[in-house]
Amino acid sequence: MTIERFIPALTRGAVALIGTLAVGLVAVLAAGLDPVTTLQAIIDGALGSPYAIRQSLTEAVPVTLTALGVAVAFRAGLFNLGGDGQIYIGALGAVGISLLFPDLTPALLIPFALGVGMLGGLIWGGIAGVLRAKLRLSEIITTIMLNFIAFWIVSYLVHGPLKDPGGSGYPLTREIPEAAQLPVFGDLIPSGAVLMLVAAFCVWLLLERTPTGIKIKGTGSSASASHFAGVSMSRVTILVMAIAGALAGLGGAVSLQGDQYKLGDFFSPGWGFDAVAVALIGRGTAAGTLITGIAVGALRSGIQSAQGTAEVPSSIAQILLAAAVLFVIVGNAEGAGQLVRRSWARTRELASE
Amino acid sequence: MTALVKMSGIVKSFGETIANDDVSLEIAAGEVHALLGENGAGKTTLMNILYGLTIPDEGTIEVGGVAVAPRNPADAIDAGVGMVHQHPLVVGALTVAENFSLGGLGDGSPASMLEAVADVVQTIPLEVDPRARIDSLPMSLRQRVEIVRCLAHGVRVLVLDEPTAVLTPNEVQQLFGEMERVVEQGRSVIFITHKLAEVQTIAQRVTVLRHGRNVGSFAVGDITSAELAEQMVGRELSDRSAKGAPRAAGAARLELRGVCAVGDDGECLLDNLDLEVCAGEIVAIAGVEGNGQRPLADICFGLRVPDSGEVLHDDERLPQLRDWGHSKVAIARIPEDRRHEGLLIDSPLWENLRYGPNLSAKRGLINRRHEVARARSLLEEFGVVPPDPMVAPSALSGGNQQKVVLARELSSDPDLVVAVNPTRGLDIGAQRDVRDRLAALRDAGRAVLVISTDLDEVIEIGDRVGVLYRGRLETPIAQNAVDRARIGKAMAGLLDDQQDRAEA
Repeated sequence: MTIERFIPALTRGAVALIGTLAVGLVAVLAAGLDPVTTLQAIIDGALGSPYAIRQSLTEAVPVTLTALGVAVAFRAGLFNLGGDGQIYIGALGAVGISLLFPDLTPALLIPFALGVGMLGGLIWGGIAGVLRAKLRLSEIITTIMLNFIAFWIVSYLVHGPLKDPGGSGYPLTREIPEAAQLPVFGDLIPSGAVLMLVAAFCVWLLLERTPTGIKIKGTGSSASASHFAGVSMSRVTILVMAIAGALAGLGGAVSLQGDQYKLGDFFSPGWGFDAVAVALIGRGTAAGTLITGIAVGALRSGIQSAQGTAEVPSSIAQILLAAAVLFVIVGNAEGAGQLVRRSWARTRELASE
Repeated sequence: MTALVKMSGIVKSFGETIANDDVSLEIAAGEVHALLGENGAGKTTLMNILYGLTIPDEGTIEVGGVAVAPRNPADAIDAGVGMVHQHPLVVGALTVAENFSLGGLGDGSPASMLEAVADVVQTIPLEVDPRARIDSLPMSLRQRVEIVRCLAHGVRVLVLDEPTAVLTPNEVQQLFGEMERVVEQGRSVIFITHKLAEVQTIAQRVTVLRHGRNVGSFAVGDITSAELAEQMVGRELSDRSAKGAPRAAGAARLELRGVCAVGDDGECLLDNLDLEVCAGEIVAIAGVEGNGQRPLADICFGLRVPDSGEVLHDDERLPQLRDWGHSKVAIARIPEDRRHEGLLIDSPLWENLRYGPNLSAKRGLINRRHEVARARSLLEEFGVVPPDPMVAPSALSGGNQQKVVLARELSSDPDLVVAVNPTRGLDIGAQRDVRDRLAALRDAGRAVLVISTDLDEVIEIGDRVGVLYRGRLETPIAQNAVDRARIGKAMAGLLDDQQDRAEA
């Protein structure tokens, strides 16, 4: 390992960072704010206190978990744009179990609710995988459609059957019992963050240290070579979409049990699509996605807090995220660009069949 | 004879492969000129150069006595050269008229498009509804749309790249009729093919390419099909009849009995094929591409189930490769297309060396250090340069890529090796390496089946040689009885019993 090996990566990082900051500067100036105080307020809001760190981590967990799933799909040449739907179904599973079995002990109820949330996401992602593998329907289309279905199912339930009768008319479920709520370690580390680390490790293990990971990456890089090698493309497709869905479903369940405690129809502020950006910036690797996801969570949390202290509009976070994706792709045609190109190539093959 | 097209001294190489090696070609006005050669002989490259799709390294082109150097198809069309590819490059989602307008006819409005088509069709009958969507048309009509589109641009030379490969016999007759009408107008047609019978039917003159070189141009009346076949496959290279008696072969490792394969359109791809490959011998199957090599290879690879007949490996039914992990596969499989089938071209070599049915891991996890070390010793053993497990095959030369495929496939200690065109596109040294490796496997008692369109290769390495023609196999004959002219005839379907079958 020599330093030369890292120079391309460093260059790409510098391009992305400088470009993103430049766009952010323009946005901040356009909003009529002082860049220095704004930056100070954002950093304080993200990392300035134990509470800020805890908020940053909480904000990072669902998007990172979903992004890990998107990353696995990218490596297999598949687009999972269904993160939001999988998150909603995951949260629905978790809220259902939590409200149905309020008397279980936390040691039983927490993993039970998380597991059912994960299972819900797995099924939701798996549907897109099966449609792709068996009926050759583009997962780009089906995952987006499944988002709508999931959203309106949840919307119907929280406006009707699951609406909290004691609430003040908001379309929200009852709050889940304390036995289902995730603990925070030392008032600093939410348990969701631990799950996020474990999930990132498992994704790394899967992609880099298992035969299945070699198959996933193999199908993503060459369908013809994988066919020749005897890899079943449809099995890998279904497996990958199910994994992606399970991770997003877990993200939804964790956000419900560790942060929001109630399910409403604006449960996800667009984590599913942010996750696509995060996975791209992370170049489809577990570590890259984890780091990017935490950074995005901190940024969002910091800007939310700065909204109060320095009147920074929250849209700045979205602008920065979008700029970061752009500049990562610009600075890195070989990495992120390749993920997109391959996935597009697979989609185009599908269209021409 | 005035030459309408004159290509002189054309040289084009792709990396280490020389596709065209000092090729010259003259096409007279008003003739159908066949360009004959095996796949990979350089026919399409030569025509892509004429059409501006490929820029030659050396050489000059004249069209109608004027020197041209087309940099793109638009230049070529301006110079009067049009080309129709095997798979017509018309846009499926658009109508016939819209496709014409894409080519620059009319101003883009629907009325002007239809008008432009009407103008064209006055001189050249199209017999297609201009409002029909291209993807609703059969391949033959798509081809015709593209031919007419070329002619509408006023091209004087029309290049057709293996147009008959996608047509039924009836459609081929129609196409030949169109070609005759085109040359009657004083234009010329260059007709790329590897089918001898078509040359005799439609062409006035024929130029034969072999291994990127022009072997000769002939008036069709002056040369027989058998002579053309010899020209096409070559005969001056090493004659190995001095090789000695065939060695005693051992037990049958691979057996095909009465194997038939039927294509998607119901056409017969393999016709009642029997084949036996024994331990300690190389059976080589010659044949012009498209005569059943692909389905035969896929069946031997375990990627395709024959529609009837049985395939035995060591007296047991050959397992299908649907997914991995069921049992160790003791067959080495060398695919034809190493870039797309043999390798994950952008993945590190150590993963490539594992990517196959024998990938497994203790307790589900891969020991990466162990794998990288294994990869390094395999790469060194097979002489891959550089022997770096972390680089991707895209950084290697073709010969080294093929060595990686061999290293992976032979590392599982197979008792049967199936290889398709194992040396295609390699330089002489790398070809030598691969053939020596196959011979060494034979000497070590493995059974080796080589399916190759390179007749020289088949004759050089085969202990027994068979010929595949239209899905039928001329039973492999022992090498010391090989008659080169007879094989050439068999490849062209000109043996007496082949003709009898065709008539029957």
